[in-house]
Amino acid sequence: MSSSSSSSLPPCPKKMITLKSSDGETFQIEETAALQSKTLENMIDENCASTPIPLRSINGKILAKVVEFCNKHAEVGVDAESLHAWDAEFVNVEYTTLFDYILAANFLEIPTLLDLASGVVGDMIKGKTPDEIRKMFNINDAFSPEEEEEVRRANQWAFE
Amino acid sequence: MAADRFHLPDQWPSTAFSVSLQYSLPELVARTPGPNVSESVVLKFQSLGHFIIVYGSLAKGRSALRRVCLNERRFAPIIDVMWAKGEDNVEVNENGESSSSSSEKEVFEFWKIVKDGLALPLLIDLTERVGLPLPSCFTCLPTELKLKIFESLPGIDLARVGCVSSELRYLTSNNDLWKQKYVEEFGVTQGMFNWKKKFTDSWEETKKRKRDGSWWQTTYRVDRPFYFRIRRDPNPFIVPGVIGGDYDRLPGLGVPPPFHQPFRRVQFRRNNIIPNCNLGGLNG
Repeated sequence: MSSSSSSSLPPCPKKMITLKSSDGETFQIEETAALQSKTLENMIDENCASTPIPLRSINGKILAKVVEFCNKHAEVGVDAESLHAWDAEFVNVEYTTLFDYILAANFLEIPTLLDLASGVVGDMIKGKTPDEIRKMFNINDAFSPEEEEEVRRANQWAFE
Repeated sequence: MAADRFHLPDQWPSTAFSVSLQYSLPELVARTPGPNVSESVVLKFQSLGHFIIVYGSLAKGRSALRRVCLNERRFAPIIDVMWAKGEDNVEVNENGESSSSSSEKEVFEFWKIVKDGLALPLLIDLTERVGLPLPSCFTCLPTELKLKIFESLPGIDLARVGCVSSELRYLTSNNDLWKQKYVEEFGVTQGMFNWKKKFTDSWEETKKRKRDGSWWQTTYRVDRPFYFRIRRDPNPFIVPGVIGGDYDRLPGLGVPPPFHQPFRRVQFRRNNIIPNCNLGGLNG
């Protein structure tokens, strides 16, 4: 991670911006940490970040965690190994929160968080049968018996 | 689930018993004027030895029976302790961290099992049935995010995902996605194809070679330098572990990569390695 953009800023080392969650909570985040989000970066570039930024799709609980994630990843001098461990702990959450992270990371365009959280979902899928996947993600729209037969036949190689 | 208060009996009637409880959502309670809510969830608790089994299903609509099994000996003592302490009474050690973090972790595990295994599935069944917005779940992710998740899957898992539902069957038939899987599994290749079919054909072919036994001959001939190099390398097996991916497994176990050269990678870490495994026969 580089923070080259800070060199062009006036000598104001800790510029803060304010984020407002869907349920009205406000969070302060350092501009350097917020730059991990492309959405926020664009707003900062266009000078739209001087007033609190309303994030209508992210609730306070998730926004607090996202701010925590950005702060951690903006820290200098954290070695890769401990950051990796911290990340693993960060995504050790129940499904709803994990999917909330994915949605928030997508909305705010934070690639590190999006990759991390969607990678966890991918790992959950690996090695599972269609039935297990249905159960895990509560997917209820099942095939008709004929369709089921057809997809099974077409993908037989993946079950041998 | 969304109840304000949970009032369970203070004492279980006996060691083997079952209790039934009914819950609904505030939105549904508000929607219906009478005492009969349009839909609710029924939980049944059953005690078997030191296990409590909780079953849940919709009261009226047809739905799958959800079930979690909880070990009383694992969770009950810790929950009792946390309960007794209360929220304000969390002990803090000299580092400013909560000293009860291991029991907190257990309580978190308990909560996660119940939430993911019972509460969320039931909430999804209920909201789906009555037409309320779904909670955050895989189904509610936009298409591009589902595809992003599929990008991280090996081809075999992608094919299985395609057998889950019509929607996922459609999403996993994306040709670009299968091209990426093909390149990951079998190496770079040029041209325009039905990539899933090409992937399947190559997969079957590899398997057939393996089954016929001719796989060994073919591989031996193709990969001959690989074998010689292994003999000279003090620790050939560190490499597959470093690179990762299914096709980087031991030569005899994984899918042989027919189109690229696996031995190029072997050259990476020739010096700073500890010989920890040679599967025999390499020193003798």
